[in-house]
Amino acid sequence: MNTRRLDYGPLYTVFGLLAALAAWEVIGRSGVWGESFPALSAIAGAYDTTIRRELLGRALARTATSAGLGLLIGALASLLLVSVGHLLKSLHEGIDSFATTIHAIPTIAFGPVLILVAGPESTPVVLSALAAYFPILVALDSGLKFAPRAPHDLAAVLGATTLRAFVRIHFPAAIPAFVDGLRMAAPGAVIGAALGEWFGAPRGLGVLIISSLQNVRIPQLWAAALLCVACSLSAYTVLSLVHRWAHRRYVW
Amino acid sequence: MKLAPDSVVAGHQDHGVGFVEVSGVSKTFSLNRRQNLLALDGMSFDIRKGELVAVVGPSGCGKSTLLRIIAGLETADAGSVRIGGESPATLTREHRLGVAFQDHALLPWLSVGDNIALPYRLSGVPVNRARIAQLAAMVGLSDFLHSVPRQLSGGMRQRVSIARAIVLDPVLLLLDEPFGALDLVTRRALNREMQSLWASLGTTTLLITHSVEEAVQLADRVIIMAARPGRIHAQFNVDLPRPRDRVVTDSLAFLQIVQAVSASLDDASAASGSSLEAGS
Repeated sequence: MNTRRLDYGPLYTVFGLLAALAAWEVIGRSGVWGESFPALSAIAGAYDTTIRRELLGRALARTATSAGLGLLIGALASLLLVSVGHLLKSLHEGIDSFATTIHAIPTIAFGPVLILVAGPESTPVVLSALAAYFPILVALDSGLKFAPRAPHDLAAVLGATTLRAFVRIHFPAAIPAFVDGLRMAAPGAVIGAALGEWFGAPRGLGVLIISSLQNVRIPQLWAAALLCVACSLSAYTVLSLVHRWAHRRYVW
Repeated sequence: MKLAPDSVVAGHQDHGVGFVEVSGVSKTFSLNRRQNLLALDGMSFDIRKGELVAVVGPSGCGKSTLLRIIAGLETADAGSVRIGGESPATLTREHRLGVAFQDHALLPWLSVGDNIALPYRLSGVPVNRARIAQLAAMVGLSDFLHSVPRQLSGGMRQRVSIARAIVLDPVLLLLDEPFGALDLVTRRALNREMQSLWASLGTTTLLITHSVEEAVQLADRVIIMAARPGRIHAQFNVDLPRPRDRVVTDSLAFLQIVQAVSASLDDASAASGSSLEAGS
């Protein structure tokens, strides 16, 4: 007899997801939440012709590219700011305040300014980077702060310069935290890109959402929104796998 | 026969010209606004060149603080530390100190070879691969140069840590309970191996430990500290033949010294005061 206990966890997940989707379908069909909440089958209709699929596909590719670039720029900017703050202790507090202040400005307020400065083509990337950098910066900063004590002491006794200790010990030890920051920032980067597209970008999921709204094409609006979600979740999943690898490699 | 300590007066030392000279070192930590902890109170002792001195004492007697001051990781409030006539900061700058901690402090993402090479990289000295291979052989890890620390046992990790501490050929080796986290069997095996390593290197060494047997087996001299405030309670010279193999460690002379040091350690614990004094 097999005495090993079955793990029902994944089963519950699948069941829960199916239940939620079924509820969505039922509510959408019944129409109790109005026309703006269509059934899943109606949303699937937005993908039913090649032209529609290509339209959504191009929009997704555009937004994903902007979000990816934004995440990359946000990550590089955080890395630069945190590294400078770590190496030049006198600048640490100032950089921290600067980063927090920028983060506190509502993204929506940047939009019109960016259209003038960066142009409608680049605005999604810039807004995406602005949405992404803060979680990365906070995660990387605390990763550096809570690096293990003993290797830090070792570097001090060996007379390592701050830069050498950073390159050899502190930064590698903070890599898992850095990837964690990337993972947390990914959904924000996608939303930032879509938001940036509202300010006059030629295409993208954000543009599609706005135009669907204006033309009352409710299923297409939902189809575009769901693609945003799918994009965020895939980025999050991929980065979670990277995080697991980084944790195994860089942490005891 | 009952062994008396060679000196019981705190601060007294009679070991001639010291290579390491610790004189009048005091250190106070503030616990909060009203309470201070006098961790070290006027510690003075010398270590001769090539000597291995072990420091034992009840927990909280400031022995790790003492090591951290000699390593330049903390500064003394009063007194001075001289190593070959120079300050710890100077030696640190010149990459001439070696250190190993109870927490082996190996970097999990580096192979054994690269962990041993770390002092080269941290100090900007070109990596000497031949020296790393030689040290790995000395600590019995030649076959593990490309393994990562996770794949090693606790005892093997500490051997890597020791190899790393001596790779730059330091003028002073500082060991802070390097075998403290190991089981007794591994610990004794390592003690035997480390003896021959030290015999071939002849590096001046300060060993912090809480094991009296380990101290007596490895050291030329054992310093016993009392706690609160941290101070020297007694010192014993260990005049046993080397290598101190099983024959020596099973001998009556060895056991008598261990007994005498243990008794002195008990006295030191009894003499240890309460930790707090009123702050200014």
